[in-house]
Amino acid sequence: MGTDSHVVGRRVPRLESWDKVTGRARYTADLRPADALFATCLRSPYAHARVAYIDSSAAEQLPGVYAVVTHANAPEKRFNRANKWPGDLDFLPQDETLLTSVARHVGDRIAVVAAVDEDAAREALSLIRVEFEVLPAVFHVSDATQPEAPTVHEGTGNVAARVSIETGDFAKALASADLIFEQRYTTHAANQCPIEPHVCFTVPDDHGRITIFSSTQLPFTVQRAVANVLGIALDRVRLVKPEIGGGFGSKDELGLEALCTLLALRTGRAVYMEYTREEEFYHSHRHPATIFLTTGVRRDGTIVARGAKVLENTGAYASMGPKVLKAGFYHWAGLYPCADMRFEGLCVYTNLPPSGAFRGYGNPQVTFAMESQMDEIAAAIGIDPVELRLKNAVRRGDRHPLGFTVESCGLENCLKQGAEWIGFAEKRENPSAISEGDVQRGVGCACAIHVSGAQPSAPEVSSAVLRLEEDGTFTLLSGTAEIGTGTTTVLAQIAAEVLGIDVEGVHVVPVDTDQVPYDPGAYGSRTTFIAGGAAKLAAEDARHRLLDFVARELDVPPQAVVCGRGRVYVASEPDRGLTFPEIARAFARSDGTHLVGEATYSPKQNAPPFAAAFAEVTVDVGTGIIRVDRLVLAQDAGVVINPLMLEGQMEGGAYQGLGYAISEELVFDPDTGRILNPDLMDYRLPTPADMPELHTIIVETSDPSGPFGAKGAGEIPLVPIAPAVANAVFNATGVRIRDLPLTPERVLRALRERSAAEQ
Amino acid sequence: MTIGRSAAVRLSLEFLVNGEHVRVEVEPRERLLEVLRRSLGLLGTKEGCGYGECGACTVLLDRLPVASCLVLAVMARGREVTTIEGLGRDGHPSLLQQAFVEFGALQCGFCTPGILISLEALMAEQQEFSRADLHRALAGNICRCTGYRKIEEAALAALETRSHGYG
Repeated sequence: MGTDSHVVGRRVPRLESWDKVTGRARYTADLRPADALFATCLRSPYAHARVAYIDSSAAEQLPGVYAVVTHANAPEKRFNRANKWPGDLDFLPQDETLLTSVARHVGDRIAVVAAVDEDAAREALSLIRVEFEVLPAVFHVSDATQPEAPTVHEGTGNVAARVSIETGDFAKALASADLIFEQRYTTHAANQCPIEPHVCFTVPDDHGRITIFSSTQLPFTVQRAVANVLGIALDRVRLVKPEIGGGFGSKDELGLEALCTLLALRTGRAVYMEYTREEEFYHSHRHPATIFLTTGVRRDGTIVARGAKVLENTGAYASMGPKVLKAGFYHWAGLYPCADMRFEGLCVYTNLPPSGAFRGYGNPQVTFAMESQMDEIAAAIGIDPVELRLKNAVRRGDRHPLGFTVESCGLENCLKQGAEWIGFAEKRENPSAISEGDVQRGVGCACAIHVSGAQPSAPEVSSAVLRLEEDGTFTLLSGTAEIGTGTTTVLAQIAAEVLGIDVEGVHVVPVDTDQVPYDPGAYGSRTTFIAGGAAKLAAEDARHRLLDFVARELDVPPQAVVCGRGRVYVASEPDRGLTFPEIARAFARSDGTHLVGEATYSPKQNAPPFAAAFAEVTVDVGTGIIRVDRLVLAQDAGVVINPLMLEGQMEGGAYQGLGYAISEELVFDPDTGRILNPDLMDYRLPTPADMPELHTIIVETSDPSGPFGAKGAGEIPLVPIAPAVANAVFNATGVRIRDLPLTPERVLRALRERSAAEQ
Repeated sequence: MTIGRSAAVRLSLEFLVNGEHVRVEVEPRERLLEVLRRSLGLLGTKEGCGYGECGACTVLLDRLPVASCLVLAVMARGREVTTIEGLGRDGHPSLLQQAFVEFGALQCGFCTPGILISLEALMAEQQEFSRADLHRALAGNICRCTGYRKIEEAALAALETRSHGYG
């Protein structure tokens, strides 16, 4: 410690970097107790089937087997894996049990075995006799909403949730429009693919408490969910989150933890569970959606009426489908404010594996549709696509549909700077100039809005405690989960900035629900904004106490002392002061305790981040292969706490957006509902060679409600990529593709349909 | 019927790991990855898929990168294995490790050990390399977090540092 810090805004390498480049970082599987039992699930081979008969006696008698649980002896408590807030118990269908007597998707959980090792556990699974009565299954939302469709959950009509919102008078406003655009878009299922599959283990102790180690984005939420599903007291459950090998939303819900804990309680032994890569693919994916947009426009490009109908395929269980649908509404409504809007959304059950959270959370689907349609509108009325967006997009001071006023907005600069960098106007005007033979080139753009947390519609809250240690360093206790995004580093920077110390002076404690204060977890681009806000308040509280204490020690008024350069000193006499180790010792002598700052932060205000993407693509019209040659992503994340971490989020988000746009697609067998490509060879993630020249532009604004003016950043970079690529394909070829992903087959088919239509 | 590992046949296996001679008892069907992690406690090598597609388990076998989930442990007999724990020398990190930290070439870090191993092999094999060489070297490694850009920047920077005789 010692330099004048200004830690915020610096390219501080992530604090756990050295552990991660030397192999010392410990992930859940690395901490597996040697004596833990291995548990694994028997899963349904059918998309829809009743368990007519199940006999596990042979499995139970196998040497080395400690427990076999089926629906017959499992807890019957119904739950939703995505329960997060108290209100979710009403809002989200509680449609799931730990083990089921009716399989609703391929891979549904039928039984679970805990045995001395993996071999014994798998052998035992093979000895469970099950007779299935196969039921008719339904996979598409359009089929599932027909009256005669097979029923996934009794009494629902296959509708898990319905969202219907109208503002103003949509029909009247539409009638007043000069031009009406009505299009249908579809998006597909994509898997999050964390390189570390879900993994957890539960260790019971001798005092009736259990400790769960889990690769989860939601330590406290999962702690509560396990207690709820198993009917045990919350104070019996402790959850520890080691390092996580990626989440991207896939670990944003109850995973294996309740099942694993059930087995630990039944056997009295430590139990370990992990997904195979195939199970990981079946766990969850981004909701496939069908989106109908009806937009009324004046001849000058002003949007006067906006309508959307969204059908979202939630799969066999609702999970967070209803929330994803609602998020789709407010992202759609928030980007282009309009007095007269109508949104109708249906979250539909099918017999596909359940959809879930994936970076963007309902936003990529609606943004693909609306940003493609904006391009169609621009082409039809002959206006520059950037200009059309600037004319209609949200601005500072606008009211956001979630119920707050937008207090910072860098979208205009994102669009302008991105367009300039790629040479958008020139290239778009004359795509043929850069095309040759079968190879056609074009450029496209798209933009996006997101959120920094789920408030004010959800009761967001984070807490933080900052403790001065004897050696003069600070320990920061926060319940938020570092999942690789740089959370730990950013929180330490925020606290260090407030206290005027170097970032090395703040030690962030890994999440252990016994040790750190409550935080719902890492999701919704909330961490910097809310957990960071709590860390800042806690640091300010600590600073206040420090100044008070040092002023007393030095016999000067509190306002005469300041924090800085690793000391607390009299502003007018910088030599007169105490170092942090001196303060710690003096404080212990006089007050007999640690000096602690603490805060709970529950913002009512939100602060949307913004982004614009520009893509330059090459389309081989002979093969349908698209190559994205250049990608520019401009992003407004408020004041940047750490540009290195932000660039990492932008580049990684753009990469995942590129995969979503052109190659990543879970393919379901249309007859059986099985995933045909549940492996990393056939599920096509972009490789380094597929990556375009990627340029990131940080457009800094300052949001008055964020810590030091910062906003959320992690999800939005993924969101505008797919429509930017689709719009570039249109610019290159004149063919509009309204269905993702833009695989060679789809592109080729679209090109041929156009040729056929022309002849 | 034999259930569980306790009853299985075991073979004695000797090989070099990170420059040290080791001797372990293994089952004939055990994978090198398991022996490194479970028997030798070298937990830096990760398992992401178990069938050679993600590259998180990459180690050097006689200086060539291999997916240790696809190598039977007995195949390492008498050979030399390098894991992430063996990078750098005398407590000093390698140029690549330093560049990864400085350039932010890692996020969750789960793929990082395998990626560093693949790149160390490239550094050892070639005095100079291009982006195309990097793409070839990383063809067996998936990173889901970074988009690869900072990984490439870090690798090129490490090469640059070596060319100028630093480190």
